[in-house]
Amino acid sequence: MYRSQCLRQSLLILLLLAASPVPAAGPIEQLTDDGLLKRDPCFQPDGSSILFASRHRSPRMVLMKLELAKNKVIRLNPASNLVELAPSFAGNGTVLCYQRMTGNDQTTFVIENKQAGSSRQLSASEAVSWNVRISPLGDAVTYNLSGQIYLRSLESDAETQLTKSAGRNDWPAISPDGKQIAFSSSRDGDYELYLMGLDGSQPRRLTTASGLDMRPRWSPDGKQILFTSNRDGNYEIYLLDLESGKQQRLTRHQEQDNFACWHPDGKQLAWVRENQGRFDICRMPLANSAR
Amino acid sequence: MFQVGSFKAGGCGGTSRRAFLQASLGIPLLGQSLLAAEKRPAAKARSVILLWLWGGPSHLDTFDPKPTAPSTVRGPFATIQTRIPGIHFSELFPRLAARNDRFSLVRSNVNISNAHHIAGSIALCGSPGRGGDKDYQPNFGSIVQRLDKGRQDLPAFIAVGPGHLNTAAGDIEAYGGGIWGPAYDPFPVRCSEIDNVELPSLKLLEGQTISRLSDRSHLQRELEGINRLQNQQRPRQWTIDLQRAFRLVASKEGRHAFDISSEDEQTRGRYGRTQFGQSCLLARRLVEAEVPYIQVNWSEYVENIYDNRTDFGWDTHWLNFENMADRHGPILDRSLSALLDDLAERGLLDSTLVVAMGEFGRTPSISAKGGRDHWERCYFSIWAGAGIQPGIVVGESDSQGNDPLADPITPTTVGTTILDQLGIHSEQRASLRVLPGGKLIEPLL
Repeated sequence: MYRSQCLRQSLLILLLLAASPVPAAGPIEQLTDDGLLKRDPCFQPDGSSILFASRHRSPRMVLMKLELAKNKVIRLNPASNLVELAPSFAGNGTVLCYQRMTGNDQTTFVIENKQAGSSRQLSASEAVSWNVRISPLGDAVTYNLSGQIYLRSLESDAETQLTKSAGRNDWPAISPDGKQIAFSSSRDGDYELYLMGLDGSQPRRLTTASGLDMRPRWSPDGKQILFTSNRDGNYEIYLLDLESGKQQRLTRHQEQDNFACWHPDGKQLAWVRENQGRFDICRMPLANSAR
Repeated sequence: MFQVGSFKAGGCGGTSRRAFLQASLGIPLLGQSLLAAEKRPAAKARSVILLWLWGGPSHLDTFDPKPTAPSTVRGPFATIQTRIPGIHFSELFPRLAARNDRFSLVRSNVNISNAHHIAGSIALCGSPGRGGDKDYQPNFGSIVQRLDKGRQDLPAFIAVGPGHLNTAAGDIEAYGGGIWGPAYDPFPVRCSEIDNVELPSLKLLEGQTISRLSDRSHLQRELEGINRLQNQQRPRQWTIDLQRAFRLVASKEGRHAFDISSEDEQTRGRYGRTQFGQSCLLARRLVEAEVPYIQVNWSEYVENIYDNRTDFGWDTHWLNFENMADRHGPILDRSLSALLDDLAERGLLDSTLVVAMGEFGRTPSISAKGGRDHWERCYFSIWAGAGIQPGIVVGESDSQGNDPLADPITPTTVGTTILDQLGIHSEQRASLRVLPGGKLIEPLL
């Protein structure tokens, strides 16, 4: 019954998209169906699976792995009893970074290198780092610490504060070429998307819409950014073309669409959709016009 | 699915089977005679649902935004217009903004402590403890429970949530009966986001389903098994809860009230498949079953981050804005909106008082940690139904949300107003020696 409701909603979205002059996205495919609270989906670089955080039969959010070919969801770290969030990959998928809660107001981030067989658990200079993401090149991580953005070299271990602005700065994401960081900032009022150099230089505002623009995600070719915005009333996924500045709304749905991520082929995206109050991972292709 | 039992508790040694069955299935509730002797004026509320936002939500990032304050105060969120001209909420609450003609808002609540366990106790019972953090007055729900002469198969005071209210530093004292003792504690019920309602009191019946327990002969066998246990350390409260639980499961209507799986998918989805959302839905079912006082707890722990005990309370010293945007805001917006709509559509809002509040607010100034700390000097509460004037804002805070400009609303006033709407007026309160001299939030009435 639920799948048929989802299908109806997908058809409705298709109809709505068909009515718009430039359809930006194709049909929606729902990939999970347990409805549990989810966040932070991230494709494995070979596209075979999606890691995400889910409230898996416990008060805790833990990392899950959706194996797309088998349509099977498994715990990534079955022995762990700590909260795990925000997975991101570097290189060809040999390095995985995620966040772990380790105590009262204590978080760490874990860097697992499958090739080297190593695992490091690192702490930021203050207790609670958040929205941790590894550079696609695997040489650094960025995170939000007390409302400012930091970069930490994984080679020298040096931590550098990149923003010192008024307001809040959050959701940093390093570009595929490792040269820029997209992020959100409320320095000019409410959350808008910005771009800055890897050293924090030359911050540039990308969006000006009223409401919250957050969680930017770089396309594999570095030319586009997916993000979440509530500018049209509730959380929807948008696409920003960096060269033209054009912004397109990709989802049209009365409930939340959030936590978008790119497929490594740059032709599709996955995200968390709230549907009838249930949270599931969905996937859809981007239309040629949007790529 | 309705599943029974969930926490480790002692046995029931020393209670005879006959006595236990009597207690479970038929004895009147304590204190009932108190009410029978009095003539109660008409009550506007038949039931109360208190949504307990444990940990203390930020008033600035929710329902008392300060868009013209400096960025170190106002935070990153935009504001949105509500249905009431001139009243704005944080952008995280579009559903509530679209229906604030259905509820009213108090922006001048105050407490006298900024410690969770103390402020929480005071907020739930209306006054400070005697001799420090102990000997509290009973929870408002415990007063209702003592006076209730309603049906015998359902407890009069039910707490729905993930567990007994805690902080990392320890339990909250005024969770229930306070100086009246544990006999007046709430009956605990757990409600998960997907399918299960659990009665922790029946942990001894691990694995039993409600349908099996509805078989009297099976129930009797279970009771005999419990009687064989000889645990001398059994807590008294556990025994009382067990009695209530058995009374409940022996009743068809009682079982039905907790059978949240009988709701259709659309209704369940409307509240959101979160623990809080489904707890709100269960609260509505309990209202239909005429339970007079239901406290829905947002979380077990106040803490926002706490390793393997994390259930994301409202204590957002860290990550206030991050979790407000990703979790707390959307969940509260959806669940409370659905509850108000559902009650109204079923004709229950006129007889159900809905109150949403925490123990305090959070600091107007954003802390060095990038979050907000405890702030007892000013916070909000939401009121709806049962004779409450909808669509008004009572009280006003100053330009940065530091203090009320006038007429602070104390926990005593909150409790007095709740009880008064239930028809528990000053004479009865005086006879019970609770909330002496309490005032009403008159503009709401």
